[in-house]
Amino acid sequence: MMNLSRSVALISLFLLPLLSLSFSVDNPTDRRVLVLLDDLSLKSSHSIFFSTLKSRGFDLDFKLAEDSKLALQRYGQYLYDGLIIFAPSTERFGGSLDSKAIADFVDSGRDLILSADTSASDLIRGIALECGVDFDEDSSAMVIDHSSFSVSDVDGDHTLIAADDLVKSHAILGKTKIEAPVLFRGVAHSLNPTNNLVLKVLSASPSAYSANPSSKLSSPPQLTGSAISLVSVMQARNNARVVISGSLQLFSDKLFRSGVQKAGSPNKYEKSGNEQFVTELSKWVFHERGHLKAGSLVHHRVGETDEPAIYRIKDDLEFSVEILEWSGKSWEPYVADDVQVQFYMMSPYVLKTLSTDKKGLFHTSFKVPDVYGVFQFKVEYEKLGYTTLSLSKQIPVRPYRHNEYERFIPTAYPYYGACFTTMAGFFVFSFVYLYHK
Amino acid sequence: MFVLYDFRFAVPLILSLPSTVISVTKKEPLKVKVITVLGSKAPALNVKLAQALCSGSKGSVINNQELKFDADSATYFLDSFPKNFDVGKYTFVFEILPDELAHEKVYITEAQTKVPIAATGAISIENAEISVLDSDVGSVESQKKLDLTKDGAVSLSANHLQKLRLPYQLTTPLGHVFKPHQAFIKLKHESQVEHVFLVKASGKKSELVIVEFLNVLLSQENSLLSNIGHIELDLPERPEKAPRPPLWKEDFLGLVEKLYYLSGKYEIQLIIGDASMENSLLSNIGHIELDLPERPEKAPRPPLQPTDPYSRYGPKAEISHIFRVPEKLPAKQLSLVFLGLIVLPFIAFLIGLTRLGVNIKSFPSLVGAATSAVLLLYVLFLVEGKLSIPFLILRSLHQKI
Repeated sequence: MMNLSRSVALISLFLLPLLSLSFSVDNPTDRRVLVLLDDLSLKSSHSIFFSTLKSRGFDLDFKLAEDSKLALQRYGQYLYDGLIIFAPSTERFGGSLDSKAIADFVDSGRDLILSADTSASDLIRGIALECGVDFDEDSSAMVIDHSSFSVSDVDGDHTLIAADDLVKSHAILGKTKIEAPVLFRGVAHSLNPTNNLVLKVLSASPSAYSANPSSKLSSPPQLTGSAISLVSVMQARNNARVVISGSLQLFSDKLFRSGVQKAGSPNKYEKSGNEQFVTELSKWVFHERGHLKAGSLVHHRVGETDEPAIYRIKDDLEFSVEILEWSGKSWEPYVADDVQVQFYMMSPYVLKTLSTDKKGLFHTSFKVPDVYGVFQFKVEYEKLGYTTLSLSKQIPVRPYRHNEYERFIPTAYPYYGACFTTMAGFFVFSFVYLYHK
Repeated sequence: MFVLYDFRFAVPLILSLPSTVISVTKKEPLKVKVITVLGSKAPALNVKLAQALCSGSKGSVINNQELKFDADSATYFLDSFPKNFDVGKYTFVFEILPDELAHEKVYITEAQTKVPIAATGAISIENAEISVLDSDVGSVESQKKLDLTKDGAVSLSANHLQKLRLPYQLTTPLGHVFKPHQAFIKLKHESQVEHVFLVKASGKKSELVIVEFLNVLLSQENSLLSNIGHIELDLPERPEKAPRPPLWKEDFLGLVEKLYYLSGKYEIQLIIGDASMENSLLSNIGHIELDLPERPEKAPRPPLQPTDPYSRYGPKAEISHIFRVPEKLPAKQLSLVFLGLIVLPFIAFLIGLTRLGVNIKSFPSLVGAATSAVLLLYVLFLVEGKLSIPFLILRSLHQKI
């Protein structure tokens, strides 16, 4: 008995470091994901989505949203790197979870997929509001689109939308174009216009509106047209990523497998674009794609290799920075043509686009301005779908020393001439005076 | 392996429809399948459509219609619908009776199976027009016929004293008046601010009238529009000399205020759609130039519009520092000329000396040597001859201090 417990203790000692594996600076993809469901049958009705996540190496932990033992943290350490909330009708989470705990979770840099549906509770709406997403206040409203619905034999009220207005971003949706429309049935939301961190990934068509399909409209609906977003994302300033969807059925096996034909279009697709859309979006959310890392900023005078402590005005300098992109498994060199550097003191004096050698090194050279002071090299890189890079390095710039000016000013030649002729004249005169006989 | 030919239990029969959406325009037949619970074929049956109840009206459109059986596809179908089967939402009530009496004990079914059916059809839109009317008199300032299938290039202009009127007629394939679920007119300003208005339909015509006008009562009396739907809204602002109507409501939300006093070009879009409509439309009718009064101090500002995400993220314009241009100095030639002028007296001095007949006898005394050394050092310093030995000696002495 003693031997057994000792060996167990030894084994657990070895396992402890493994247990603390999570995402880190060197490996930004999330590992452990908590999935909150309000109905365990979602495990089987959304099995394709969960099995693709598992096959990509995620460690999914399924729990009921009202489970009283729910906890995101233990002893100050987060237990999970990502959170999927497929519980649109839950009024209160169990355990120690509430909307503040989820907001803290995202604040710590961790990712979230939140899905509402036609019976979204106030809790889910509150979490979405924190991220800048406003769901339609009417709880019986659904998105209806009479021009862009999916033609179907069994659904006659045009609430199953075939949407193809996707955001143009390779980082968020991958390089392969999603050919088939994406099927959606659920609630509409709009984005807060003052929030510049949210983005519409799947928008509704201009003829869409959000209303109760079984009752007549008595006043114009609040949300109409392309202002309605069906799926939105948010990338926080600490690069935590959040996906908010108005439809839980978007992730379901049924819509993954079903064919789609958009009303008014002759193209009939065997398989909807849902699976590709959801897979690519989950790759983006869990930092398998679009995550950048930068090395330190390197600068030196042209012809030298060391970094000087101070520059002089009108010096020629060279600047370079290394940026790598996470490919899901390793760091690859990042290739882009829009990385820029600023030479900044209260406002940018020089702003240049860096050229790349395609191996991750971005470089440029320019002349230091003729203003002296304490400047900063600033690289503030924001690209749709990529993490934001914000790097800076301070460097002072001094004016000319007294002996760095030009030695003789051409305009002053008469004065020099006067001085030297005086000296020469004195010399000659004294010579003559002394030695004349 | 199940064998359900056990006469102790009756086998339930299930009625299902492969498609619950029927197109009235395309004249598709209604198809019904009947199978047993385990999926095997049902025996010969008599399937009857007992009733077809429309959600809006009372009474059934179809009564006790028997469905024909198609042996190839094993479905029962109904291919002819009565003349008054219009678009809309129905509940079909089916009754199944087995043909042979013997089977009555073997198979059981529900007494009546109710299935919701949606009947769709192509709705025709006719007589669409758009016109701007002068409010007082009701006279038409400009009127244009609309072709809603094309994106129009209708261009109108109006000010806040005029009305905009957009009548049209919607009829079902059977010729009845159709009231769609979605009938919007959207006015979109250049600054992306949008306004949506509902078209209320009543009677025969649907019509949208936007009254941008001061006087509520006047427009109510003025409606030739008594049996036609309209939107009437009124402004709180009035010029001084306007007559006060007897029923003035200070808390009316004026249309001008609703439009945030934004004058300019508005795009008009007409969107008509319904679940039973097979040809829902979104039509860009054209533009209207609206001339609205000036915004007063306390009026609400238009809501912020979201910025285009693609423009937010692009690279910024390059900035290169413009170096200070050095002051414009006089030409070099000028200074050389003056240099020459300055050297002239020295040359004149030398010439004068030779004229006087100087001659140099004994060579340098100490004083002379010392003076010339000092001068030499001075010159060397000025010319920055850093490699001269005396200079170097002096420099090292200075540094030691």
